[in-house]
Amino acid sequence: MVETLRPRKLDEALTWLSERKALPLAGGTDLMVHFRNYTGTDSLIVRPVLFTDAIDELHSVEDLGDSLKIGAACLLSELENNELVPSLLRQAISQIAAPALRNRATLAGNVCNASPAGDSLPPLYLYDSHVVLASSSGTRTIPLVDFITGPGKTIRTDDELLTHILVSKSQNEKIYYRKVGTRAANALSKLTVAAFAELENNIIMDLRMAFGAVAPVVVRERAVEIIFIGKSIDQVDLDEFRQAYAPHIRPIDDQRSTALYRKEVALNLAGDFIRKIQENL
Amino acid sequence: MKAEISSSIPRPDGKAKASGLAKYIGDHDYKDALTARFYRSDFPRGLIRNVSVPPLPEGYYHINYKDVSPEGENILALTRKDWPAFAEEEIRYKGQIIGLICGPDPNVVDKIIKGISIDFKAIEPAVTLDDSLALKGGPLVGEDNLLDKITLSHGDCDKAFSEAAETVEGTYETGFQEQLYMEPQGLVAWVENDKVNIHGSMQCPYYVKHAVQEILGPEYKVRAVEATIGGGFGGKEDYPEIMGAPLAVAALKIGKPLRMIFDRSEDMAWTSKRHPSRIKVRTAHDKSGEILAMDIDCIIDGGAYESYSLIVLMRAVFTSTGVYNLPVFNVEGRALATCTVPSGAFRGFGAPQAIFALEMHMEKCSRKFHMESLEFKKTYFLKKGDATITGGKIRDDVVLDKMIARAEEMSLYSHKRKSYKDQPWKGIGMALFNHGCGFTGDGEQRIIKAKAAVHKRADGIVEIQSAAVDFGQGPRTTFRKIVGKILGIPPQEILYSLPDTDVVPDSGPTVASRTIMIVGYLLQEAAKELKSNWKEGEDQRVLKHYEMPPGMSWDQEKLQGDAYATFGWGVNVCEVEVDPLTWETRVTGAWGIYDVGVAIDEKVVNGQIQGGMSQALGYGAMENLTVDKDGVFQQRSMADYMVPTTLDFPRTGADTIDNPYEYGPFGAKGMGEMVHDGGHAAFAAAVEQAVGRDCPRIPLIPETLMEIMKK
Repeated sequence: MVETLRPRKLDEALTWLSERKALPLAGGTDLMVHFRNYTGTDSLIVRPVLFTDAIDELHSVEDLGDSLKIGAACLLSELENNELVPSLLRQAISQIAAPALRNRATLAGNVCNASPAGDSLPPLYLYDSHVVLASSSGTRTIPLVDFITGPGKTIRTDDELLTHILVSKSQNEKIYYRKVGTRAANALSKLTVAAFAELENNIIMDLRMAFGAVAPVVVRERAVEIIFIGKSIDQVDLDEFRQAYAPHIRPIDDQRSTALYRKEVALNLAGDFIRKIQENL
Repeated sequence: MKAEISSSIPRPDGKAKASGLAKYIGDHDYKDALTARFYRSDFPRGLIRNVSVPPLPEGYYHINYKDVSPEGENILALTRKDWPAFAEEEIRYKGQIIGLICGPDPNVVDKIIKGISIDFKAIEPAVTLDDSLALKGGPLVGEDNLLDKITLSHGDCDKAFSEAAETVEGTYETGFQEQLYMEPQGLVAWVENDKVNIHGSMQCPYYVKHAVQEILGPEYKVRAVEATIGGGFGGKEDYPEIMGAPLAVAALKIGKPLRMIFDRSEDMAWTSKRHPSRIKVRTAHDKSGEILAMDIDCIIDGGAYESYSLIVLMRAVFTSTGVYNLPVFNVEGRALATCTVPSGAFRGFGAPQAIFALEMHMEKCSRKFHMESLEFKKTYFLKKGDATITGGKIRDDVVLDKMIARAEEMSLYSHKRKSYKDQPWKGIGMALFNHGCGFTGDGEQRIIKAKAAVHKRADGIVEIQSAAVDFGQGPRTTFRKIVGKILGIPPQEILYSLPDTDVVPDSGPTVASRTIMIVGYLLQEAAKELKSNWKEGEDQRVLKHYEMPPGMSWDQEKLQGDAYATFGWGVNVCEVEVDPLTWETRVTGAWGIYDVGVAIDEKVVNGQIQGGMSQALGYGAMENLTVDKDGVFQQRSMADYMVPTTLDFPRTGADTIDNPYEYGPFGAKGMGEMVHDGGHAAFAAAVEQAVGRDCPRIPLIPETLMEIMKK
């Protein structure tokens, strides 16, 4: 039998994490698959499991003015319908799996699972998101880009709980999100592209683009973005734009798609983002 | 006007299945049953030197080929006796069953299996058709890796090609397909009063009884009982025998009930799939484009052992000229052995592969001669009195013209086909097909010899006695309607228990679109006889035996005559849009019009049409199933093997045209399989129009389409 812990207070949770080496479960939609064993046999989980869903203070979405503080127990379905959440992130969330899963899964869980194909990650990378990690000995706030170090790997230590995700608020006029999945719903991503641009008199004031499932971690290249910032949008050459991203897209062949396809389509969609803005000028 | 019987009634088994009350094998509480699990080869090909099993705690057992009694035979009794139930020395595919471990605690059984190690001499595996043709690692079967080979020809093909003004050639390929029934494979076996009982999820209780009988030997009594079955699609035609034979050996040896229920991942990794195919079609044409002759080289991938490959191959070959009457043809069919899980039965059974090749080739020919494909095809439509590919006869009216007219009306096919010529990335396609009902050749007469009975008890209650199972296709509804209509009894009041081979006569397996047409007809005739002889207060039972319809003949040596008593016919239309950025396809419309003779129940038929179309479109567009270098399926979970959801395809616009068949109950013919025969071909034809390129390979996933477009 697996021992389960369901604290109501964060302090209690942090104590159990350090003293009991508990395994945090924030929705469990990835964790349960990870620990799957032959049907009818006992769970492979040997540590006590700590459910985060009863901790009230992790359920809120707080408006901090220039950013949002999203609690680790917020469900994907709640965020999908919360108008404070940037619409790009909401779009990405609305295409994850299916309603039943989104009613269990959390954004914090998606982040901690650190899958290269985690669909919430590209929008979070665009918004320079940070994660807040708490333990009995204190808290630290870390950029998401430093938090995730590889497929399934983060710098979270066993006694830490990811308590909040900080997302900068943004009023982007031109947003772009495209998930290329294996089917219309309940699908894992072959690749995803998320982007936004801010224009003033057709001059690119800001431009950001992130790609999921085309490298060990989400691809976001500020150096490439800077090349095009300051230029007039109608002067951006689509081929040049594609070429600037090409070296950074390094996908693999797996059971869901091919490296060749992922790369080609990621670059097609990158070009499509620019072309759509140009066409709507 | 549709026949009166077609009006739907609530399915008698519907409420229990929808509410969760129905008991599947996993729901039965066999209190003292031990958990049984197979262990399998962890290498693709070679010779076992030694199997080392960890020490067994008390109450745990290890069973292998040595436990088969000398009176029995360590062989799976499928069509040919080439596949040992337990591997002895030779291994031909990774995952081949070597033995089984059983005991009270599933965790301990799991741990024992993880501790087994096998010492072996490795042989290079032949994983693909090309590996098999190249005899990689030496021949797996015979001298040439041929499991089966058959040929059919008519007229002088060589002469036609030598005189042709033009020839058109194409190679068409289809992939593996996973049945993905909702309920995984599961059986319970126990011995009681010297009788071996098998209870579980099975399409063919008498096949299971036979296979168990063969491995145990003649002195044992065997009984197979169906538990409610949660889907099959052919996947529970052969596998319950493959699973049941070794399980019965173990139950007999140990003397305790054994319960074996597959985990989804074990089921997806190691149970039989649809045969992949590679079919080369060549046609000889005169200057105007008219077909003078067709030459077909049909290869299917049989996997490591025969299983049902010959019968699948026969259906593929006998379906290879489809709805067309071609004067001169030559068809060579081969089933090749590879080091993969033996391919098995799947809805359509060779026909979907053959129809894909044929319909895509007809599209290609029409493009070559700048003709509209439907006009091009119409020239060759079979009609009543024409010869079939095996020299039999089309005995019934062919109503293809009416069906096409209905399809045009519903889908606006020709109008859209024309207008999409000027609209990039949009296309519409049509596929035409027929499906022989019942067993191929004289299988019904010579092998199956079906019997079914209607029993009236003294209290007047009527009971259907048949071994046919309901795995969604509806006999629990339709059989009752047939018998009830004849006897004037409400269908819901008729009893129809889950088949038990100790109780019901052998009406044959639940396969091959034979249930309604063959078994339903026997029940209709039995009910008629009972009615004419009805004696109030008496126990009466009328048993009917199958008889070949008059005038039919079949020569099994020469493969000549009536391969099928009659055919179901279908017209499928599919409309698509292609995204040129991602090469994703979106099906925007699907239509299916069928000649099923007469529908016994409209909703049951519509359910088959909707599900069959989704499965066929999934086969054509999404269901990518590939093998790694060891021949192991790479998509072994529902997260990786993509069957369509309700969001992937629109609802199929469906209709049937009544065309009653004399030897079917109320004129009904088989239809459960043909709804999977054409959707994939209509889809690929639509994509061809949308992209303006040949698309000869399915599944036509975006990766494949991109490859085609970049050539």
